[in-house]
Amino acid sequence: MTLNNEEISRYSRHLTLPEVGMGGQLKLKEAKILMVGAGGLGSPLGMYLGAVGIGKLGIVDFDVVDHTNLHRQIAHAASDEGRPKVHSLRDTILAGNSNIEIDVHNTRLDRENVMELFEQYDVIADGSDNFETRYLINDAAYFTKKPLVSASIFRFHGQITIFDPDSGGPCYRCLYSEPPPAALVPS
Amino acid sequence: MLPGVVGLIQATEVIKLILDNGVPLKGRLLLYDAMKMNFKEVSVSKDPECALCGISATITELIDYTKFCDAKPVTSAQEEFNSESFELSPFEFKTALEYDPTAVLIDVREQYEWEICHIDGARLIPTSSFDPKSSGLSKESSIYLYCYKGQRSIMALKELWKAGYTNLKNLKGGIDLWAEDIDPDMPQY
Amino acid sequence: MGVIIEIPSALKEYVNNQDEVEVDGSSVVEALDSLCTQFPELKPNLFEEDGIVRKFINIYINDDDIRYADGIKSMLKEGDSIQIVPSVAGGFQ
Repeated sequence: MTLNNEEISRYSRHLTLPEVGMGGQLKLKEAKILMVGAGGLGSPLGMYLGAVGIGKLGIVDFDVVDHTNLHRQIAHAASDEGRPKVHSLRDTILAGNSNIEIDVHNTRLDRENVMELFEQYDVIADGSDNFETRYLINDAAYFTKKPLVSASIFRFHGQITIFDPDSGGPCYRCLYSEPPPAALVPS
Repeated sequence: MLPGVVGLIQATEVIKLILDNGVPLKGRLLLYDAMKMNFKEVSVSKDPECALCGISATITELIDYTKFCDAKPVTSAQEEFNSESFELSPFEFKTALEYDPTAVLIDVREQYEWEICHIDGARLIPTSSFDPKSSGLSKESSIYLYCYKGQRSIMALKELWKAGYTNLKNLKGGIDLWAEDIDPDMPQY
Repeated sequence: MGVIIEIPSALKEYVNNQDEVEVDGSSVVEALDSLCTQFPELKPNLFEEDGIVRKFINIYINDDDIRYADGIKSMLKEGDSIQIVPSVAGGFQ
């Protein structure tokens, strides 16, 4: 794999950083990242991963852009209302960097599709918004041996960590073995 | 609010993993508080008893996640409480309110939600300070409860039910569905 | 001995919306008991009926998980702080 001249120019400030360089930029280009959620976390996550030149991005979400999303889900514009979030986010990312490949999965992640999907990627990024999906992602990432970069939000509070049991680290269930009862999850 | 910061940290960690450079956020949970504007870190250890990745793991394939995350009662006092038996659709709720002379309408959302919208004639008793004893509600009245989507009001209803109130109604779908079905001028949030 | 307990946003409503509460206690269990005596509504959110910490809540002394020390019996030193960290799921608000 190599970079073309447009890419060399685009990523030149990366190429001159010792921590990235040509070798690092090619690693980014070869990388395949799957993001779950194209909302509040997925918007900036996808926009940055696209801009830095991740070679292949997968985006999973089943929701459509709603008026109440616009104040925080910054990849979606008012003109995107009613469109699937995966399409809106993909278009925003590609408008900034058309060198990358984006696979959209306009579907709910579930037991039937999760394993096959995870197998196609190197790293999973969880920006989902419910416990069912978070435990599903954790278990599937464990079974497919993929590192999981997990972020979640409640009001003004965020939690971020990497679960990578395959390299000896903890998984989500090590941190929280059970979800809260539904009655304690704010509606 | 402001999930951007958290999404960007997530992006940074993904990029570091790919570059295989720097110190990854493994075994550490980063806690971000936007209001205090601080970051804290706590350690996350591998749990040897973890049901998935522990020594004697019991989860060996994907499970039923809906069931796993299903409601478990906050207390065990669940004696045959059937929340559905108290539910009324927005239309039924409105009609019952109009024809019930002993009706008392209670909004159990928080003050800031009340300020966005509320149903005329309601009284605000937020769930955060909800206590049947100090509520001043009479057991002779019919108590009609609502919240945003119907979840918190059923919890308040259950408190009243446990405290011996019998004539209780819950607005199914909360004020959100009410705005859709009954009052199109009401803002939704 | 006074220790600071930091309250997460998800549980603040049970402690008059305070970010942190100072209590007395020489162990985690004493400190949490003192907190729950002041704010009884908090108790079912922190503990199961048999007194064990709920599984979606972790408690840290400074930055160390008490599960890998002596659990709620872990002793406190002057100047320690207790952090309560519940599981949150949102990309939500």
